[in-house]
Amino acid sequence: MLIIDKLAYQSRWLHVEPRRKALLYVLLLVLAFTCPPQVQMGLLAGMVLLTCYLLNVTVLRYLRWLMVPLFFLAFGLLGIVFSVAWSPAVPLPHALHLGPLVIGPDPVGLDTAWHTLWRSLAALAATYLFVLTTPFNQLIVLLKFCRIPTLLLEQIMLTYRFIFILIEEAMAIHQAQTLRFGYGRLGNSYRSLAMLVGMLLARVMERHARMETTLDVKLFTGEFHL
Amino acid sequence: MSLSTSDLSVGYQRDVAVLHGLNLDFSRGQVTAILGANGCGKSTLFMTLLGILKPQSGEVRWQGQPIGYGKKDLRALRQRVSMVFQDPDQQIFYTDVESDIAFALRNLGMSETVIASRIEQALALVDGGALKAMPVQYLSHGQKKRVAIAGALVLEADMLLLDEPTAGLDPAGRSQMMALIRRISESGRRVVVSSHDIDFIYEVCDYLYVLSKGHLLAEGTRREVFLQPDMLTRAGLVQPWLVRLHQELGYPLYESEQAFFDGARHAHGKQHKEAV
Repeated sequence: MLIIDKLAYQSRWLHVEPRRKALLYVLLLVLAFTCPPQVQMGLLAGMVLLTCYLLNVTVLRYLRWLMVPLFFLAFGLLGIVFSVAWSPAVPLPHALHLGPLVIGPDPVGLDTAWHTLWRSLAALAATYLFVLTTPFNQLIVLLKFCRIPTLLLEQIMLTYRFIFILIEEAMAIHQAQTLRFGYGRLGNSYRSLAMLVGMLLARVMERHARMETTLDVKLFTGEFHL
Repeated sequence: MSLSTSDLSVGYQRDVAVLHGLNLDFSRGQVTAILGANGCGKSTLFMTLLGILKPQSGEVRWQGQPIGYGKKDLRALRQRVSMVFQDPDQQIFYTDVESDIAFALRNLGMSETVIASRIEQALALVDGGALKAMPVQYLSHGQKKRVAIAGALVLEADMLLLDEPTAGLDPAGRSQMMALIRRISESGRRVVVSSHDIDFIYEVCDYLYVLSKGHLLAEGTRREVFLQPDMLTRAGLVQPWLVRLHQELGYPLYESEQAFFDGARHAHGKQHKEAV
């Protein structure tokens, strides 16, 4: 069970027309990308509070979700701020000289990083707002509205429907193995993991055979009618 | 509407039969039971009845005629005879309840107005009106089972095959299933139930076939079948507790748990009054 989806089903905007939510998302994204940092900060704060209100979660919990992409953002920003050059055209203040190599914070980079930080955060908050208030079934409706090919939609839906069954099965096998000390030592762990993957494959094949039977019984003709 | 088999033998490998020369007639009762221990061939039988497996010898008959195995024949048969598998996760493909129930009807190309009204009826029959708007992955096992049954009921088939309908259900889910099967049979459809839940079968079925290792061991009404304890033991089964009360302790033979408690309460009340 995906926690994002569960939250989306509990959100106060569950019954808001998905197209309106998507429109708001696009609008917020455009604002997040084009406004100056001061506006982005305000936008960010507003969206965080709105999301927390809609989902009935604490700001602290929200910030914890934000930590996940923040890690990647921080690494990206490091690359923008710091400049590495053999012989820089513009001298870098506070730079570290390693022979001909110069490493240091670049004032232009610092400015770019400042803008990137707020732009990314605002865009992230907008994405969170959209994703956390639009459950999967509504996303399918939206994708269909956007004329995404049916074949792709069928794939998405079936994957989403069966991925949890697969994960549950893998967890059950893993648990059974753990209870019998299958992951006690490194050697054991490798063997157990290999067995888990093997068993999972066998079960997927079995499920596939059963699914075909069921599709026959349900008079399947090759289309899922989304 | 009659579904029957004559001298039916089925196997997955050549010369190794799983079902041996079965003569079954599913029009003898409104709710027919296929009783048997694990591995007796219940599921294989169901797959054969729907033409998913072909018999090695003998035949399956629908309305007295041997069924055909061409694409068209099978499609026609499966509109009249539908099946619900044991594992609901095997037969629910969609992430929302409504689309899933509508699936078979959309495959037949029915109009959306007909589909909508049939979904309503099917959901009402399984007592699942509240499930309609729920996402599938948050349903309980019993709820999924009811959705799966609704998915078969929408076809309005004459015959519904239920494979192990009580497997994995909690007591509340089990009594709901009992009521559901009664409602389906009262709506005029025939039901075939495979199970080894003996007390369940005793209450819902009116004609029974007992299978053991693919052979037919006994058939008949509840009385005829359940009053033979030795035969049931050979099939890996036991008597229903109501029948044991009757045979071992001399109680009257009650038709259902409810009848037993009503009867016992009545008798107890009498004794109580006499004592006073």
